[in-house]
Amino acid sequence: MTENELIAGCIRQDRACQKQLYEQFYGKMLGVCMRYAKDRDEAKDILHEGFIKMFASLRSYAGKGSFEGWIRRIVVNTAVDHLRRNKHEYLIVSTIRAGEQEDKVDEMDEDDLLSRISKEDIMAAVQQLSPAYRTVFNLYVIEEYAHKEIADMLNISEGTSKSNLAKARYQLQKTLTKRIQSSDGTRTATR
Amino acid sequence: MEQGQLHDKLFRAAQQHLKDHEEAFDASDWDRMDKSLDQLPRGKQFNWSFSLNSVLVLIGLSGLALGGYALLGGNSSGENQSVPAPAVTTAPAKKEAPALTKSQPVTTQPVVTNTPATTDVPVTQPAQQAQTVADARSTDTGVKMRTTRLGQGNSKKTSETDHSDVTLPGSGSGDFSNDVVFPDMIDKREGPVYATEEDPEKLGSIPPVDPKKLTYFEENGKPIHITTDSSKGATPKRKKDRKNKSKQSEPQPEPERSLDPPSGDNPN
Repeated sequence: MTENELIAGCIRQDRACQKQLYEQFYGKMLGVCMRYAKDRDEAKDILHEGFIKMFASLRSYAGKGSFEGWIRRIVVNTAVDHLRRNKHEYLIVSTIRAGEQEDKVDEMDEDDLLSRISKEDIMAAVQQLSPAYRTVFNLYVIEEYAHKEIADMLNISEGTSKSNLAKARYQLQKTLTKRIQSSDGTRTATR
Repeated sequence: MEQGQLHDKLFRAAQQHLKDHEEAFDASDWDRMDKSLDQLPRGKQFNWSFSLNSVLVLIGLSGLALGGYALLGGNSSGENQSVPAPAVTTAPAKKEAPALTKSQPVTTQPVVTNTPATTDVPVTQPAQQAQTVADARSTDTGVKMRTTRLGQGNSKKTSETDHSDVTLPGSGSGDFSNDVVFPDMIDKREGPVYATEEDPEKLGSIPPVDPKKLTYFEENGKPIHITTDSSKGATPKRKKDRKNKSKQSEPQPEPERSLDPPSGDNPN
């Protein structure tokens, strides 16, 4: 079944078509949600909400651009809305964490670090970021939005967006170094 | 979206790893989605069906309205088509005839029948007016009317206003036909005056009329016998009364003065 036939079936509320579409985009969209959520459960909640929105607004898809990009935009917006609903929480947390994170971590060569990290390490480090940093990091680095667009989406200033990105990078680097060093220590201990 | 390359190595590495990151499919998530889709209202379809129904109802109503209009228009046009007469309607022309006899100062003497006199009542003006109304009604039966202008005394200028006998060139025929009246045919006082020709056959068929035996009929059918010829104007008795009145009211006329001076008196 082609993508257009699948979309037409979903518009007709054909459950088989809906299931096929869900299965087809589930993995990618859950991967997107995992970057915005702090854990898998929250990511599934965001994904569920995103798919509901997508099925409800499928008629508005004009066929311009890729369908995957259209769904991804819906899911990203759903994730941002989800974070916006908990704005009070994530803003406070980000403020506290910004001043708290002063753990001493041995500096590590960046190239060496990047050569040793895996996808799971990066995902775990991103999920450990505060919601404010995580959101700006995802929108800027992965979705490639500009700071102006991010500022508009999150209703913050451009300066705040840039500052959050810088802090996110610092936190990410520290978390990754810590993970690599801890894994090195585990390996050394087992030897 | 920002199209520029990420200059930071860490960001580039993160993007490479996370951009196309996929998670494994969990079937239990579909069950949850299935339940949510069941609860999802089918608002769009309902709206569409609702709008379709409303459109159908509107089309039906407009069809009924058009049908009714077509029926009414068809009836009215059918009536028009059934009339073979020209565009000029007959109603105004028919109404003109009684209006003329009532409003104009014309003494009308319809010749109805030659019945024996029953009562000797002098004819008065109201009686004449009533009679003209009755005569106007009787025009449809072919009774001829003879009108005489006041002030012309016994002048023989008469016009027969029996429209059934009048035939104008170009006029229609039948119940719905109309006599065309041109402006030059309308008299200021008498209204339309039709050019008529006396039919010698009809003239010969009319029996000689004794003026003393003429009888009018009032509206209630009461016969009125005329003792004098009213075409000459008022009765001699009336004339006498009028003269007396005028003599009493008017001042005595001064004797005429001769413009010529008397032959004997010379002012100079």
